[in-house]
Amino acid sequence: MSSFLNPKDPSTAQSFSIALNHHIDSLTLLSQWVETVGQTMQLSKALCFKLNLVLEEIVTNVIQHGSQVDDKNSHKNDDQSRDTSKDTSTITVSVHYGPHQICLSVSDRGIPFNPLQDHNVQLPANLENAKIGGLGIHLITSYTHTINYERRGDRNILTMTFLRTENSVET
Amino acid sequence: MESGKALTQLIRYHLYKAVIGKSMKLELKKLDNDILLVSLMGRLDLKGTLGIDDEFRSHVAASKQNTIVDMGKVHFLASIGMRMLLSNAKALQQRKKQMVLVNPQPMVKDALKMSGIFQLIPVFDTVNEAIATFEK
Repeated sequence: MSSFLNPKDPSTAQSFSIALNHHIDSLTLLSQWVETVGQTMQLSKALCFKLNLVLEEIVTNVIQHGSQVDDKNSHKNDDQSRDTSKDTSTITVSVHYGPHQICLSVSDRGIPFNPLQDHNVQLPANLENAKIGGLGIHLITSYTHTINYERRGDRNILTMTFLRTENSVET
Repeated sequence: MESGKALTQLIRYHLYKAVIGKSMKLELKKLDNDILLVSLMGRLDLKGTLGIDDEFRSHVAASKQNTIVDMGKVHFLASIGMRMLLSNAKALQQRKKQMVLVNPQPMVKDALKMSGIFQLIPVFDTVNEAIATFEK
């Protein structure tokens, strides 16, 4: 199980990461990973659900929109001498467990894509006017305490924090 | 997007749909007064939703029946699942019928509130309460 969790620091086991492919089955693996991390970190069911939901939304987004590898940028960054044919499709999810908050990061090598840009969801007042879209990013921003996007080299990196005490729902 | 890539994605999408295991299950029951009860079971994430989307739509959006969706056994709900619920509720409303949800688990209920769907699709604790609203 520890190899599945891939602890960065086995002595404290406070950080875990997982590498995922651009494939729908990665989402199943991801949710299992979150469950295992949650149990190891003894997170509440509510917090686990939030982590699961936010990661599901982000990774789904990356799989759907980000599967186009940033070819232009890859050529530009040839000097970095990496094996693009092998590694471009990897999505890396990391979680770090602190005393008051959980830090989460998702990085991928897709084309530059900032999901927080143009995020201005207005919840519809009635069903007739409801638009069928934008819900994912709305849930991500609602459930995270802080969220930040940056483009570092050829990677999109989303960094988020969740408060450990923020539990509005009893489970 | 290049057409080749679009085609690849389309093929991939249909392959997903074809090979997806049943991570979601759907059960139908006809109640009195032309009310349809649809019980969903499993995870309404990308995989689960793609697995039942067509079937759900064919029974709900395409019908002209008031519909109660029992969410009691849905333990995870992502935005794609919410979109499925929302688009079917919209389709029914255009046919002058209504879709309601019953018995969502606490975190699913919280996600429904957070997304604003709670205000758009009526949510009840029990099937009987839902039936009562159709009889009004």
